[in-house]
Amino acid sequence: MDRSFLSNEQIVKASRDFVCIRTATYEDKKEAVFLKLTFLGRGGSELRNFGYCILSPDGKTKLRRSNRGPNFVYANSNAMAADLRQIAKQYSGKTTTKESNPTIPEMKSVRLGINVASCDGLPSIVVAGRNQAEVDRLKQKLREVIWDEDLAGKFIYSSTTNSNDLKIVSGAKSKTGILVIKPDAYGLKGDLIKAIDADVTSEDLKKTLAYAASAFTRKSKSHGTHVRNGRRNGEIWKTEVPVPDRIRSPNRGSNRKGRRRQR
Amino acid sequence: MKSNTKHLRLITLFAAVAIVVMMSPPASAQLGPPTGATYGGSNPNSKKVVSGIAWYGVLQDGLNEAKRTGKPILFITAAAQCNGIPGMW
Repeated sequence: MDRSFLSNEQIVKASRDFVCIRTATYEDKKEAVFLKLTFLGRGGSELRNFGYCILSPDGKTKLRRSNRGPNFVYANSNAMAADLRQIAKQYSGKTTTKESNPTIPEMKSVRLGINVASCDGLPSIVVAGRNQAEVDRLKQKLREVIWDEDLAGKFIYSSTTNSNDLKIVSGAKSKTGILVIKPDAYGLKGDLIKAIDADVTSEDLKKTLAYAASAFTRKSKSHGTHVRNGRRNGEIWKTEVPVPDRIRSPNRGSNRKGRRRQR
Repeated sequence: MKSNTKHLRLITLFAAVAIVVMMSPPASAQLGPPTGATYGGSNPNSKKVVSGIAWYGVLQDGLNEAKRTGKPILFITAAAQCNGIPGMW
């Protein structure tokens, strides 16, 4: 997947008319079933690391055929943005987004949230409470501000009521509230940047998060060095679903022929 | 003599093919890693945190939200590790 494809301003803008789901492959057994069905079909074999498609609101119909990444479908990001706009137009009269703020786009766990934040080069936010009611109150506060264009897509979220989940975050032991975390290079640990109390006002929360995002410095990584050093230092990630061995793709050789790009 | 030379050529050809096959890495169903330096995610070229796509990381949460809003779904799956090493898609 060409990772820069999705950074196009027009695509980001068009994405607001979609619910954007990015599952972490191999991290959930139930999701793996859906992924196989969506990306491989009923006769599919091994789950691949990347996949892309556009689905109807009920998640049952493919509006565009699935492929390895958007760059396999579109000639360039402008073509993708135009197609997204066209699809969104078909649903514009049916959306009900003004009913309430969207929910928080969370990761499944703090551990995965910090790893994904590291993959994305973004700060992670953990909503930590002593019980679910406290977490829900904090989330309610958060969802009122995070969809603002100043903040959308700038953090990776997760939540927990278990303080053990915060053991991997230096400085966050037994903290509760909205915790802004800087993930390490491998996403296995993190440092607490800011702990925001539950009694924060929406305005202050928004300002604090905007500052945290602007003050966050992204660090560049290169694949070879990252993997080599990771192996050397034992920075290993265990997936929930086994990653298939390097196997010969059943579609190998036909991918390029099958690439019909929209222009 | 001619026959010997022909056989020798054939053996050499087979040996060369065998070596190439043995030395080649196994074909992979996995998409390759990013090339060059990256700041990560879908915004690999920006040193600053900028507005981006807001991704639901849990499938069911996203499906519920799509059902609630009637919005179509932009759907991607990506592995949050590269050859078992986390911190890179």
